[in-house]
Amino acid sequence: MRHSARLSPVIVGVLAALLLAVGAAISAPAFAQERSGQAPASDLTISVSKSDVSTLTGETFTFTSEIANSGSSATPPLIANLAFVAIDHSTYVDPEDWSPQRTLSVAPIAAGSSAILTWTVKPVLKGDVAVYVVVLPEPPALAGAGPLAASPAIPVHVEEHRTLDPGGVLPVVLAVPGVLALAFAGLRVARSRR
Amino acid sequence: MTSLSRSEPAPQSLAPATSGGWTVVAAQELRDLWLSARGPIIVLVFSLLLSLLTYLAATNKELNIIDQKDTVNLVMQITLGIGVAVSLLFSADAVSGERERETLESLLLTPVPRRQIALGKLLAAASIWPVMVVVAIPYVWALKGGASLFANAVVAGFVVGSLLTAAFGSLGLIVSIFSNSNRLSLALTFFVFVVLLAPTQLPLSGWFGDLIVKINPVTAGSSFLDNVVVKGHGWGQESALLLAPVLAAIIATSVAFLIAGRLRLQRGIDR
Repeated sequence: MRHSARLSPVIVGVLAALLLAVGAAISAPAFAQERSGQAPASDLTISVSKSDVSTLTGETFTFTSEIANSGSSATPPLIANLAFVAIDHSTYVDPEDWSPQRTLSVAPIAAGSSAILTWTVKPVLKGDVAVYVVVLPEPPALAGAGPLAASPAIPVHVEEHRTLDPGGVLPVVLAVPGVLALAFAGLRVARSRR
Repeated sequence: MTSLSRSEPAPQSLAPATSGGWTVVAAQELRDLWLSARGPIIVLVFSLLLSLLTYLAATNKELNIIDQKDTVNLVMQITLGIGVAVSLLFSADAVSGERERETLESLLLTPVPRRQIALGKLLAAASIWPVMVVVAIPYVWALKGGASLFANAVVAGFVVGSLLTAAFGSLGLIVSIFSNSNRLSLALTFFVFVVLLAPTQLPLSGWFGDLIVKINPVTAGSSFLDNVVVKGHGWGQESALLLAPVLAAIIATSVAFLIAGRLRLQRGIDR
C-alpha cells in the first residue's frame, strides 16, 4: 500500500506529461507539422474587400481577398479556392457557371506579408448565396493538414435580369421563316402556272 | 445540273457565250438551285434553326443571361459554318454530279471555255452564302446590344464568310473535277471542312495552339469574328487573323481555275 502510494504521484505525472504531449500533437497546425519552420494555418487570416453584394443575374462583380501571414515563418505554397453555398436552401449553384476561375495558386507568403487575389463572379440564377475563399497548403504539406483558413462569407443577393425580352424577339422568330415559306411557295406556284 | 444544250441550243446564241459564257452557266445554275426545292428548303431550315436559337436565348433563364455580344457572335458563327458548308457541298457536286448524271458531256460540248464553266458553277454554289447572311440579319438585329455591335457583326461575318466560301467552294470544285463519284467528292470535301472546323471547339493554348489558330483559315476566321464582335477589338488589331482566310481564298481559287482549264469528261484533267 505504502509502495503504491509513493508511486501514484509519479504515474500521475507521467500520464499528465503523456496527455500534454499527445494533446499538443493533436492541436498542432498541419502546416507547421509537415514542414518545420513554416507558418501554421492559424497564422493566416483572410479578409475580403466586400461585406455584401446585391446584384442581377448575368452581371459580373469582382472582389479581392487578402491572405495575411501573421506568423513568424513563411507559408508553404498555397491553393486558394472560391466557394459558393446557397443560403436560401433553394438556389442551385453550379460553381463552374458562377466563376470562370475558382482556384488560384499562391506563392509562399513571407512572415508579416500578404497576398492579394482578385475573384470574378457572374451570378447565373436569382437567390441568396454566400461566397467565401478558403486557403489550403499545396501537397505535400496538405497531408494531415488541420483546420483550413477561410475568409468571412460575403452574402450575395441576386435578382433576376433578362438581357432579351422574349416578347421582343417573337415577331422575328415567327416572321422570318413564315415570310420565307410564303415567298418560296409563291415562287413555286407562279412557276408551275407558267 | 447545267445543260446548256437544253437552254442555249441555237448557233447564233453560242457565239457570245464564249465571251460571257460564265454568266450563262451561272444563270442556269442559279435557276436550278433557287427555282428547285434545294436552295429554298435549305434556307428555310436555316431560318428555323436561327428562330429556335433566338427564342431559346430569350426565354431560357440560363441562356438569357449570356451577354448579347456572345449571342450575336453565336448567330454569326452558325451562319458562317452552315453557309460555308452548304456552298462547299454544292461546289463539290458541280462536276462530279454532272458526270454521275451523264450531263457533263453536253456541257463540255458547248462553246464556253472550261474555266468559265467552272466560274459560273462556283458563283452559283457561293450564292447560298449572301442569302444566308440576309436571312441572319433580322435575328442579329433582334439580339443586338447596339447599332455598332450589329454593324460590326454583320460586316465582319460577311467578310470572313465570303473569304471562306471562296476558299472552300474552290476546294469543292477541285475535288469534284478529280472525282467520278458524287459521294466521294461530297464526303471528302465535307471531311476536310469538319477537320478544319473541329479546332474551333477545342481549348487551344500555347504556341502550338496559337499556330493552329493562325494557319487554319476556319479557326483564324472564327477567332477574328470572336475578337471583333465579343471583345470589341478593331479590325486593324486583328488583321493578322484574316491572313489565313485571304491566302486560302487566293490559293484555292487559283488552283481551281488552273485545273478547270483542263477539265475533261472522265475524272482528272487533260495533260
